[in-house]
Amino acid sequence: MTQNSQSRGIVIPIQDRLTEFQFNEPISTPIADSIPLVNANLAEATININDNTDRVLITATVGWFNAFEEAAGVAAATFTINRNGIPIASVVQTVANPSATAANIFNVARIIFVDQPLPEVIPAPGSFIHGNVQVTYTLTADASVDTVATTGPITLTLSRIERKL
Amino acid sequence: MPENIQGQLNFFQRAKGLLTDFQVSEPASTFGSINPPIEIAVAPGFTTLTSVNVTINSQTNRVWLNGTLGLTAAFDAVGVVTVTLQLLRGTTIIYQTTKTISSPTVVPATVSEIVHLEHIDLTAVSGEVPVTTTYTLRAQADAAIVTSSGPITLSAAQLERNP
Repeated sequence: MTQNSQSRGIVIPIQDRLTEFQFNEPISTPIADSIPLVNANLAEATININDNTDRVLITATVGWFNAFEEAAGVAAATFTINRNGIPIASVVQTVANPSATAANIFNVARIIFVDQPLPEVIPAPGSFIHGNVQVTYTLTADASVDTVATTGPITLTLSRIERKL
Repeated sequence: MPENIQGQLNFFQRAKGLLTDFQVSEPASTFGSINPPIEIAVAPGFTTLTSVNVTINSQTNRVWLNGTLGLTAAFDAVGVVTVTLQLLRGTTIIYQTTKTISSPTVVPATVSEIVHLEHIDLTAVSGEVPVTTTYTLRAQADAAIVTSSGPITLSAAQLERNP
């Protein structure tokens, strides 16, 4: 994005740029053996931060399901984005089996989150970061019952959006 | 080097943006704007929903694909229907996800859902560049009761390798 401010007769270019892109996509097409979602680590990626004003656009997409036995019911899954192990964003999603017929009920969870101002990597207000600081983001999951699982896909992306005045 | 000097140096540095191309196909941006709705084929058939062309400039470029699709199922009674969604590069399946739509009521009901697809294609090209690659979003259902009247969005962002 470029904006010009000419209110005082000067031109101030503002540039927001995607300057680093990291991702982890452990599964892109369905695998044979399902992964239970109870207390599960699904994906991890690390990105470099090199400026106080950097922001990180995080996206995650997960296909998941519950294997219902011959009963109607509801099952829930929680998906969480963690920065250096600390939860910073999460969603809860459910699947429902409407009848007493055994069925795998599938859903797709999606998280979009912008992490700023990255307080863990900013040394102090007004100071500057020397070189790159690595920040690790993980996608984790938990579930209401142990029959909740995934066979993929699992995608986690990190985009560093850099602002330079 | 004093911090304020480092900061001044950073001030004049211009980091290179990695997003070099963005292509999108969005045949419908609102629910109901495709009339009559597109019928989703039953297995083994597939219904092609949309596609985008991306001209790849380097073998090290990545293509970040995002798709969003609204689906509607018309149930006569309690039941479920499962929809398989795929992204293809040319004719190769590079991504697949599944969405179940269900109705809990014994009376006829129309149930709508939204599904998202997201994939990073690392192997967009293997030979000489530039080359134009076609990415396609398609769907298949296990019963002939699923349609899409929008939204349908497929975007492809070409990203250079990290510095």
